[in-house]
Amino acid sequence: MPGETIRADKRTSSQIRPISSVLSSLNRADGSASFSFGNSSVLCSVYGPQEVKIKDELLDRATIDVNITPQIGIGSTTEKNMERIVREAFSDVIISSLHPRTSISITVQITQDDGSIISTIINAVSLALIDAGIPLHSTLLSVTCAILNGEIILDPTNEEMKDASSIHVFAFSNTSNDIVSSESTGVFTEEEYFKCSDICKLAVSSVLKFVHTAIERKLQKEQKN
Amino acid sequence: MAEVSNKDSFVLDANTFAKLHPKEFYRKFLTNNIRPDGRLLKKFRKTSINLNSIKSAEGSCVLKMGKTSVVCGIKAEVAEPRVDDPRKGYIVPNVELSPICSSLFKPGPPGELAQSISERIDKLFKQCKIIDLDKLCISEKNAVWVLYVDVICISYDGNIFDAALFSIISALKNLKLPEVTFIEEEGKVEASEEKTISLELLSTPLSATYVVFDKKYILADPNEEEENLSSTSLTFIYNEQHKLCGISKLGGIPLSKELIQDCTESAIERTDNLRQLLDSTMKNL
Amino acid sequence: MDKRRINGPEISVKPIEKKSTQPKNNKDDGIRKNNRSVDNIRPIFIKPNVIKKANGSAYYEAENIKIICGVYGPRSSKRSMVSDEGTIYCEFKFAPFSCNKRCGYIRNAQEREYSLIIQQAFLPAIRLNLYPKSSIDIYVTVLENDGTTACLAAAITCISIALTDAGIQMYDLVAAASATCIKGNICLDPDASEENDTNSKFMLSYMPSLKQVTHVLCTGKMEAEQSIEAIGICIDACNSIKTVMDHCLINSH
Repeated sequence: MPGETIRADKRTSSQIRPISSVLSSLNRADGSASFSFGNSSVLCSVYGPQEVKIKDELLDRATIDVNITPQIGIGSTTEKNMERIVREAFSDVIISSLHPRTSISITVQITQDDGSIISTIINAVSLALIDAGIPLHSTLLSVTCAILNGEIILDPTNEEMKDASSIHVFAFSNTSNDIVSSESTGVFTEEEYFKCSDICKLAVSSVLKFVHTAIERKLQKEQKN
Repeated sequence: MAEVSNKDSFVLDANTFAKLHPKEFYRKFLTNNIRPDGRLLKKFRKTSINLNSIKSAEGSCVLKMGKTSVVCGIKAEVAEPRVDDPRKGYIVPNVELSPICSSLFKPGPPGELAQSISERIDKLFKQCKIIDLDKLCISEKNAVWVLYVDVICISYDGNIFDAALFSIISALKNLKLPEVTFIEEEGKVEASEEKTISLELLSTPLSATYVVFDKKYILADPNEEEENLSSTSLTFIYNEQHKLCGISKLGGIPLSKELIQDCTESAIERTDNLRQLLDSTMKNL
Repeated sequence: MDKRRINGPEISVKPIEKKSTQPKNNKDDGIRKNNRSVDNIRPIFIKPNVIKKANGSAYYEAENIKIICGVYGPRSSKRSMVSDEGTIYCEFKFAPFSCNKRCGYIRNAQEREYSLIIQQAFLPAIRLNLYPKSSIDIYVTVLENDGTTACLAAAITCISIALTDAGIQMYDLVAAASATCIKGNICLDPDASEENDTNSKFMLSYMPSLKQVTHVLCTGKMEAEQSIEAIGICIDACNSIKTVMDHCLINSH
C-alpha cells in the first residue's frame, strides 16, 4: 500500500509476521499445538476431559484450568494475568456443559517471546483444543496491534511494543463479527480503539484461513495412515 | 398406588427462589430494568472515601463502594536505584485479598484474582506515567524513594478492581513524604520528623467496570452475586482528559461496538464523579 | 523474590529520623509521656457487623490503634474433621503499612505467636462442645499499630464483639488489658513510644462476669510484686472495658 511506513523487519504496518504451527507434536497429550508469529512461539498441550480434584469440581460444567510458563524461570504475576485472560475467554468458547464434573487442563510453554505473546498463546490454545477434540462453539483467534507514532501497526515485536503509545490485543471468533476478548493498555482514544479492532478483525480472518489449511492437512495425513 | 396430589402452583418465597434459581431471579428484575438491590442497570454504588486516617502510613485511604471496602496504605522507604536508571524511584503496588474479606479466599499466598489485579495496576503505572519517577530521586545513583502501595480488602462484595484503583490514586494524591538529605560519608539517608512534601500526580486514571448478564443486560458496578452470574466483564480506565488508559474485556461473550460505545459515556461520567469526590474530600481535610 | 506479588528492590530501608532538638512538652514530674495518668486507657470505639461476608465482624479504634476482625464459622474444615469439640483457628496479621517499620506479607514469628495467644485466650470462653467437627476461624488485621501489646489486648476485645456478632455461644465475653512498668509504676495501655522505652510487657485476658482470668502474658523484666500488682490493675481495667463492650452491643441492635 502506498504511503505506509516500512518497519525494521521490512514489513508494512498492516502485515503480520509469517505464521507457522505444528499439530499433535506431543504424543502423550490429548491434544497439542505449537503456534508462532515470526519469532514469538508457544507450545500448548491440552488434557481433557479428565478427572478433576474434588475441591475444583463444578457440578454442571467442566473446570477449565490454564497454566502458562514463561521462557525462563517460573511464572510470576504477568503469567497469572495472562492465565486469567485465556481462561475467561475460553470458558465461553468451550462447550463445558457437555462434560460436567471433569477438568480440561491447558498448559502453555512460551518457547520464545518477541512481542504479541498473548495472541500467540490464544491461537495455540485454540489449535490444541481442536486437536484434542474438545467441543467448541467457535474458533477463537487473536491478533495484537500497537499504535506507534500515531500509526497502527499489526503484530508488533518487543522492540515496537516498548516504544508504542498503546497496545491492543483482540480476539475474534469465526461465528460473530463482534469482539470476543480485548485487552488494551497505554493511552488512546475511543476512535483509535475501534479502528484497531477493525484492522485486527481483518487480520484474524487471514489467520483463520491458515488454521483451516493446517487442520485440513492434518486430517489428510491421518486419513493416509 | 398412592394418588398424586393436585398440582397446586408451587410457591416459593423470594429468598428461597433466589437461592435455587439465581439467574431466573435476576431475569425477573432485569426485564423491568431494575436490579434486586434496587439499583438501575447503569447505576454505580454509593462510594465514600476517608483520607489520611492511618498515621503510621505516609499516605492512606479507606474506601467504601457499597459493601466492598478496601484500605490502601503507602509506606515510603529508601533503596538504591537500578543501574540502568539511576534517577528513577520505584512504585510497588500490591492488592491483598485475604480470608478476612470473604470465605472465597484461602489463607496463604495470593490467588489468581489478587495477582491479576496487582499485575494490571502495575502495568497501568508502568505505561501511563502517573507519577514522574524522577521526582522520587534523593541522590542520583545512591538513594531513591520506594513507595510500597498496599491495598487490603476488608470486605468483598464485587468490583474489587475499581475500588483498589481509586483507593490507590486517592492515597497517592495525599502522600506526604519527609524532607530527606543524603549523607555521603556514611551512605545513609536522614529524614526530618515532619512530613511535608507531596507528590504531584501527572494523571489520575480511574476505572469503571460493567458485567454482561444473559448476553444483553449490561450491569454497572457488579456486586459479588452479579459477578458470579455473569461470565463477561468490561472495564474502562479513563484519565482526567477523557482519554482511555486501558480497556479490559474478560470473558467470551461477543460484544458489539454499539454496546461498548454505550458504556463509554457512562464510564466517563462515573470517573469524573469519582474525581470530583476525591477533590471535595481533599478540600475538606 | 516473591513470584506471586509485584516486587520492589531487594533491599530497602527506612530513613533515619533526625532527633528533634526540642524535647516534647511534658509535666516535670510526669511519669508518662503526653500527660497521661498511670491508669489511663485510651478511649475505645467498637462497631460490630462491618464485613458483609463474614458471619461476625467488628472494628475497634482507640486513638492510633485501628483493628478489624472477621469471624467465620462454625464451618467445616480439614483441621476439624475428626474432633468431638470445635476448634479455634486464629490468624493475626499486621497490615504492611500499620507499623512504623514496614511489615512483610508473610506472617512472621511474632504474629504467629500472637495468633496462638489469642487461641489460648478464647479456649475457656467459647462453648466448643456445641460445635463438633467444626472450626471457628478468626481473622484479625491490624490497620494501625500503636503499641504491640496494646494491639494484642485490643484484638482480643475486638474478637469478643465479633464472636457475639457471629452468634457463637460463649460462657462470657473476654476483655483484655495491657500494661507496662515505667519507673516502678504499673501503667495501663502503653503506646508505641512507651513500649520502646521499657522492656516489660504485661497483658491479661479476663472474663468479667465469671471473674476468671483466661490468659496472662508477662515478658521482660518485672519484679514479682509488680506483676501481682499488675494483675489487679488489669482486672480493674477489664471491668471498665466490659462496660464499653456492653454499651456497644446494646446500641448496635
